[in-house]
Amino acid sequence: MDSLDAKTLSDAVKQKLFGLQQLVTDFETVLIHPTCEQFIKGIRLLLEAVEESHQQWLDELPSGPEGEEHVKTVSKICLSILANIHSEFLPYLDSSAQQTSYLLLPTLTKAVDTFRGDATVELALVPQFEYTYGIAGLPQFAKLEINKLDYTDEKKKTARLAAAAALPSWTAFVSYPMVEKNSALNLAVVSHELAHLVDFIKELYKPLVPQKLDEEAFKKLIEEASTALEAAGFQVGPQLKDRIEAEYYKDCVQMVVSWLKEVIADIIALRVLGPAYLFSFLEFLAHGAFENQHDSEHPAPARRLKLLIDELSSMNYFKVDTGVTKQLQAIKTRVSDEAKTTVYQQHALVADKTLETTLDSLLTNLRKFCSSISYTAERYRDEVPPVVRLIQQGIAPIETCSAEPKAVRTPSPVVAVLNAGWEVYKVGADEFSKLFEEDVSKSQQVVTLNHLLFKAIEAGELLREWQKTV
Amino acid sequence: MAEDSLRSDPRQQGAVLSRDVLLKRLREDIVVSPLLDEGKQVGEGSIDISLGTQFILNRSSELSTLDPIELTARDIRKFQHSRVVPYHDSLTLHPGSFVLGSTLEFIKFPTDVCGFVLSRSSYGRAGLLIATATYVQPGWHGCLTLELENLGEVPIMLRPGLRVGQLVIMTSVRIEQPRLRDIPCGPTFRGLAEDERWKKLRQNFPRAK
Repeated sequence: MDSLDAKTLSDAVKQKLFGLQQLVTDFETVLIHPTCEQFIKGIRLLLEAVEESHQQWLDELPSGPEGEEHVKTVSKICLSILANIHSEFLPYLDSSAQQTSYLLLPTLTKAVDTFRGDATVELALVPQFEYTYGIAGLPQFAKLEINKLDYTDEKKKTARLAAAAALPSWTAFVSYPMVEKNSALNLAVVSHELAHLVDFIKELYKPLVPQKLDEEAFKKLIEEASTALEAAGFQVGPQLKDRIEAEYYKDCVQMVVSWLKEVIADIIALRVLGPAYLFSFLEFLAHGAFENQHDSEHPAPARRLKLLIDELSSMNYFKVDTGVTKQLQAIKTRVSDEAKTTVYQQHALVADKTLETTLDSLLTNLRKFCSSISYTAERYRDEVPPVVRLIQQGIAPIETCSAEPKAVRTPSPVVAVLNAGWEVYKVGADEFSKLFEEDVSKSQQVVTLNHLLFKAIEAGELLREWQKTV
Repeated sequence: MAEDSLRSDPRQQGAVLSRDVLLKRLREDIVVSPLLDEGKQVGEGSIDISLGTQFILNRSSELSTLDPIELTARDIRKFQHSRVVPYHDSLTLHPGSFVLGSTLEFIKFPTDVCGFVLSRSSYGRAGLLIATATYVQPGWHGCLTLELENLGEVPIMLRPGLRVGQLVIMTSVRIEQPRLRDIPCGPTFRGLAEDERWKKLRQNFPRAK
């Protein structure tokens, strides 16, 4: 805007900087330390860099129209970075302040650490009011923003970039519905988002992207589009057909990649969590009252569920008897019926058929990737029943104690705790309710069950860390 | 005396459990978990208990008086707020200040033992009171709420994991397992119990007109 002079823009930078610094301090005081510690460091670094580069130009530019013009340009760059901090970064700090009363982050971070390799990750949980789960991964956000800044002294910029490089290579925000913040059972679905993060970092999807689209389905899509255009009065010549093909090809590839990433996240989450992931995913679909419809990012739920059931089958859940075998059988029947009736059309049909061609190699790769941590039916059979027994006695299943004479205390694995929680919820609710007075509602009992699970996860983590020290 | 006879002999009810018996029953039916350092935490007649991570702090400016009869759930929500303190962090308890905390340990008693929560002497001598409602009844499930007050003259740092208290456990007449309303895993304060007796008294002795 030409109506704005250099001084107005330059003062706006200073005012905005001051306002943002105050906001960051406000958020910092309400966040549970060390939530977003590195992210806040990065934002502060960025604010300092903006201030520094802006001041450099103000100090060094000559007065006069040319200098003023440059101050305007530099101020505008600074303001756009500050606007980005305000609208893109600070909402994460605001949401991060709303957490469960239990310390879950160490456990989740440890889960990601298993896969992250050399990358460093700071993870934060951000509850939100939309009923969705999601993940936003910011790779080296401070470095990217500082690079946009124009410095008169490049040495100073280099120093700031070096400071930014010391921050985690990834800052990841896992969002979940606020209403679920006290439900350990339902939050198990967060594993899908963490799997996305692992996929981002390790780029698992890249070698798995199919080399070409399913020819038959794509040809059909182009024919349908041409027919529709002709019916609308357009003359579809070779040139227009080429353009349609190019456009549709791009859309279909995008859909295939998005769907592929979802399948990868589903399979990793299932491999890591076992039936607890399936149950929590079903609960998510129920709470969100979702229909069996795909979108550009996700395949239809019934198709995803079918894949999960097939994968559970490969993890022996329909061969080995576990406490939830009957429930899984019932889900399998319902899912098979619905998956058969799920009909894809147009782009979705192309994406589905294309993914089908690559499914076998995709599963082989993912099974190999998860081989050391797959929660197979055999592990479930060995680890979950003792945890279930503790919950049924009204005990937070922090640790299990082996039989005399050794009586070794072992922290309950987090995955066993979640699966045991789901088993009690799905199969053993009547037994669990015997602990309570008759007028305690079922919903209140589930709240208590969730507290027991959270407590077990938090204190179990402490016990594991303690055992490393002795 | 053999442990079995301790359980059955009414003359021995009220006997504080010795270290050996405590260790044995911790493998059988008494739950204090996690027991990070069993060797040091279990003593003659008591088990050390630690501070958990959840606290309830008061906003005294939000409440003019704490009237046991008039206190509503809304008042409680208004004048209390929760705070989670990670293990590496601390909460400063100033002289005269009062906060609710809870035990790090989850506790479950069988129906033939009861217990008392006491400050560990070293903390008591530093002025830290950890419990006023000290009795733990047979069949108890959950993390114990600690009433933490600094009776001293200098601020005390409360750090989760600190062994601030001890749980003295003794035998009692076996009762039937009580049905539960809740299994607390953090500090709780739901208000004061309804006092029907006081209400009747007030009806019978109305204020003079």
